[in-house]
Amino acid sequence: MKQRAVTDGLLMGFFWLAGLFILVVLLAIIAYLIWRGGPFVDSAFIMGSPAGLPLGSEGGIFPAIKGTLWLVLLALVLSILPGLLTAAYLSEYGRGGRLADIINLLVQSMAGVPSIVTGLFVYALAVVSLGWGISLLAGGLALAIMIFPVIVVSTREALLAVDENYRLAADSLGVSRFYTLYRIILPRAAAGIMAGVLLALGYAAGATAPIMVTAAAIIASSSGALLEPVMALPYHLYILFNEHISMNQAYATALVLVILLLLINILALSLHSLQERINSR
Amino acid sequence: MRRKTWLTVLLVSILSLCSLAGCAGDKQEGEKEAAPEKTTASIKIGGSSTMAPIIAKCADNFTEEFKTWDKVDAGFPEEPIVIFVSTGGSGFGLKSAVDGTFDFGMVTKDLNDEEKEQFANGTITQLGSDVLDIGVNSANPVAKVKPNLTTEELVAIFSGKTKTWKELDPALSDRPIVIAVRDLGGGASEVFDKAVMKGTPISPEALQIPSMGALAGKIMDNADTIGYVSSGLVNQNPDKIIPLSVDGIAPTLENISSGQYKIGRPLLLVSKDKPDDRTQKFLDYLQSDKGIEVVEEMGYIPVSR
Amino acid sequence: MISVNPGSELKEKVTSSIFIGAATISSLLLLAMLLFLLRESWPIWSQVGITGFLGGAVWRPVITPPQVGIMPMLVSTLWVAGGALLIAAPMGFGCAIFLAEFAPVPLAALLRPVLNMLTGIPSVVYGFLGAAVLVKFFEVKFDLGSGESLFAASLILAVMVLPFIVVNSETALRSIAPEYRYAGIALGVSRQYLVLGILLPLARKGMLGALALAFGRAMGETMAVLMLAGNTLKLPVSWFAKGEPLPALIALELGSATPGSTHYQALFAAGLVLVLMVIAINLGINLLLHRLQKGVNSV
Repeated sequence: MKQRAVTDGLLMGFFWLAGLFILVVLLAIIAYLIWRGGPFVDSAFIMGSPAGLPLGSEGGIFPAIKGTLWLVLLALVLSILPGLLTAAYLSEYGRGGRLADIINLLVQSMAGVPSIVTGLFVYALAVVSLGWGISLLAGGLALAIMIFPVIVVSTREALLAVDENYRLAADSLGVSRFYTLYRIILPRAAAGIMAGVLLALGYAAGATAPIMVTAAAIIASSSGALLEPVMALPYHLYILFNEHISMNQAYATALVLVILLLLINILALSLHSLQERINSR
Repeated sequence: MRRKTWLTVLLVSILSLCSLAGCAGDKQEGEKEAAPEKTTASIKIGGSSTMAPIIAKCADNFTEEFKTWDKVDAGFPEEPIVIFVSTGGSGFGLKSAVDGTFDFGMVTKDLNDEEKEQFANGTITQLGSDVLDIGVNSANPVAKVKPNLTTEELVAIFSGKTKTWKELDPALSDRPIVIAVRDLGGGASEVFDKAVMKGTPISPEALQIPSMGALAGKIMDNADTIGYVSSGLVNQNPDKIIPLSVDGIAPTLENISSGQYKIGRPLLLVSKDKPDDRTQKFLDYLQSDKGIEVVEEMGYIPVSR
Repeated sequence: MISVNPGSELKEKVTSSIFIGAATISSLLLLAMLLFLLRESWPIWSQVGITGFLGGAVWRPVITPPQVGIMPMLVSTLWVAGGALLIAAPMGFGCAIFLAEFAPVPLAALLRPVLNMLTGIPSVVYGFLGAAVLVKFFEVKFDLGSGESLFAASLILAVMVLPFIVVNSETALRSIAPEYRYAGIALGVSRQYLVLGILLPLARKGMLGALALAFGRAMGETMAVLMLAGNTLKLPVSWFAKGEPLPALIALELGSATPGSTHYQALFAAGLVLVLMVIAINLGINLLLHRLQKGVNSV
């Protein structure tokens, strides 16, 4: 019996360690970025444009912030409907069937496609074939494809987490599956779905490789014109440290990017906890 | 009943996506529907990540100085100047220039005949040269002990035969030599191969670094590293990277202009079609004193010297 | 399904067709991409062949004749991703268990947003920090010539995939019917035993799925490995050696490869191989899960 207690104690210790490890890692990352980048983030940095020699070693990142916001918005618009429909199919209509398994497999495999390959595919398809050129639209499409599997997986999880009894009750009452989905399941899963979508958007906001070949420019005004190149925060960061333009600006850019994403995630979190409360009622 | 309907849906969608994928490949064979006449004032330039900062700075200066096209030349309409600069690599720059995605591709390697063919109706402009210095960390004693390396010694180092600094010269430490190179398919690598390695393969233990800036960074951060690095970056960080001489020839301005220092690559702008009036103006600007000034400030060698 | 309204059966068919159609078309995107990759890389397969390409140990695509073998990169890819899972799985499962079973509510409430935020940190930032901090750390601490290694890359990848493992595993644990927990308590087993002996096996499916997703993510991750793995062409002989995983190979060389050249085609072939590897992993997991299907939470 003593041995059981010891094992139990060790396990408990391990579980606690695992939990706190996560906390430590995040705090370390943020603290380091604040320490190295904080001094260089001021209103001129956020609102200004790149300057200095070489370009980017001074000045600001406003066009990059705008560009990232546009790209993410576009990615959302392009991927949310297909994502929701596919997830709904997997959880409601086709559950357990062969087709659903195949689609599930395909979607999960899409998550493994390296983002640069997605970018290349969209380059050949949209930038060249369709003649869009290096543009916001092509970048948005590449990002949409990239986050599509993420949205499907998280939406499906959110839908499945809704108590099965609702579906059983609805079915026994003769209600159509669409009605069940639309009026009963979806509202109850809405917060979880939105949380998943927000996280997917965060993923899109940070992606570098796909936008490098479809949308990004070192210098652009990022005015929101669909067929023009844009600057973007992750790409700007990549250029800054890869070309060794300025480590300070790089840290500052990284800090701004991470803060932006943290805000998105905090929002996702509050939605998620709202969802939890709904589900446990 | 339901099977048939969605089987048809399946078939139709497979076919349509196949044709899309097929189309996507096809367009690369250069055939492109007539490019719309450039009605907007935007110029798109992309390609080599080495050249991009230079062009970006020039574009910024140009836009700052003139703001609208009519100030460049009274004959142009009063439209704001908009220039975009992207990276993606020399190969990407070449391809995109041919596709018409960019008005100019930035390429930092010599073009072979086949490639030159593709721009026969357009332009190939050289803005300068990027000289590759053999750089070491300033804390590395080799700069004082043995500041000159022969080509044979260089080949031995980069091919992996000479593994430690001590093997190079007994006065140096026993630390392993860390070799930093650019990606082996790229322009810089090609230049180095032609000028120094001449076919001898680079050591499989060499670190392939994605960009010149990162390569410079590696040399600056790691005292055991040796690598070929853009002179521009060496000039930007004089107290951190020290260039070595090759076969007795130091990478100084005189040696480079006289052609004695051989390791270098051209900075090229290519375009598929003849540039329109406005784009031509920007091209002229790049080749003018103001453009040359930027090239020099960033540490590269301008062409008209 | 009994329908009261005769017209609603048609409506039902239409709506479900829309869903099926959307799902099918969206997932066909993957097939379109595969076809695209195949098309771009075809000459490699017909001239060099599958075994030649996959088993070839020499990668020198720009000499004449070009030699394109990606075996060292394959090994690097598997090693780096496998290593990442090795590091992340125990931590990830431990954390998921912690959150689902043991964490006091306020702490759990703190940790969940933390996890979300970790997911939110983009790969380029991880790559940047890894290159700026981790590499230097290895160089200084272990007195290495250079700090890049597969291990360094695995470490960063582990941190990147950790949140995915935790979140999905926690969901799997939470969706187990409460009856099992009641039974466990009634029988007087310790909570630790309850988790390891009863709940984990029940949550197997979800947790394996989480691992599969994480493995796929780790194999395809580009920015972090590009800056940390070292990108050497030599076959890595240990976790602490340097290597060049496939995504790094592609990202590194694609920009400078002349379109249409053997080099270019070989890179697309490598991309195809990478995607197929991920699909193979997913297929494998799927088959495994079908064998475990008899679990009570089959969804």
